[in-house]
Amino acid sequence: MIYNISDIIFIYNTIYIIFSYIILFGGIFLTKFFTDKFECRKPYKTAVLVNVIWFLITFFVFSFLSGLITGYLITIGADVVLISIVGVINSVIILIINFLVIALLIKVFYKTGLKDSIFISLAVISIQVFIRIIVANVLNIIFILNTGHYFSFYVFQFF
Amino acid sequence: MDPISILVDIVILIIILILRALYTNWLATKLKWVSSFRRGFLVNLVWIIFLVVINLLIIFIAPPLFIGLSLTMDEITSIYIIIGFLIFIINVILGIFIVHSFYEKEYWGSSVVTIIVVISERVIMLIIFISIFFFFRVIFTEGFYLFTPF
Repeated sequence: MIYNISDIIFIYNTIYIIFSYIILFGGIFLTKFFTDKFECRKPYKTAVLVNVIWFLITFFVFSFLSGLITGYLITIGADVVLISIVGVINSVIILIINFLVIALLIKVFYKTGLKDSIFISLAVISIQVFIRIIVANVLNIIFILNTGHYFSFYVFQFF
Repeated sequence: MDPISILVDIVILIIILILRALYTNWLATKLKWVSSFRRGFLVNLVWIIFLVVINLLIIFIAPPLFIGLSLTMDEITSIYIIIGFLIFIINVILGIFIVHSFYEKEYWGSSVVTIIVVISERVIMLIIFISIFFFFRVIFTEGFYLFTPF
């Protein structure tokens, strides 16, 4: 069976998205680990709650807004370069807002100090981004070896 | 090599070094480690020296090698992507060992500090990159040699 390049990209992208969700919900263990280290011992239920609320905000608010902006740019027939730059800006803004949201959630649910919650949030997000970069790059290398082309799965992959 | 680019590179490196030292110091303090700006500065100085050496080796060794092997542009780009990923991994491993040896603390803490520093730096670099591209329509790594891997 011969696949064309768009089919292969679709398969790789699907694999990457599955990994992304695993990494996202791995945040539960990271939250539990770091809050334990900061002596805010609470059951797993709290970590699950923090991560589920975070996921819902990300999925229904940020992803929706990001899709809306990209959709608008496509509708008005904007330049491809502009669309990709706006996509990158969206991702960076979403990452920063995510960081603030999780810091706030940790502060509220674990009743930690602001600086401690900022540190925990930084640690959780950085480790998730780090694993995502590794997954994206490994997939990209397999993609290069299979097709001879390269593909960007994640905004922070090449920087 | 353009002397102005090298000068700008060195100035940027010094600024990065100071900011990284302040950031590392803050992270170490949050983990309740005994830390100071001086120690953070030394950690990052050693770390950056290693990275600059690795980067310079690649800059001087890779292009003649690629010409010798008469590779196509696509192949060169792919190899650079793989090298970039390897440098990223080496950067993190180096960072973990340097932080561990300077602070004499457990590996999980050193890994966390290193990953936070590396990822934060990536995000900030991307923001700077987008801003420069957005306002000036130029890719800022062109002509910059030491600055590229950070």
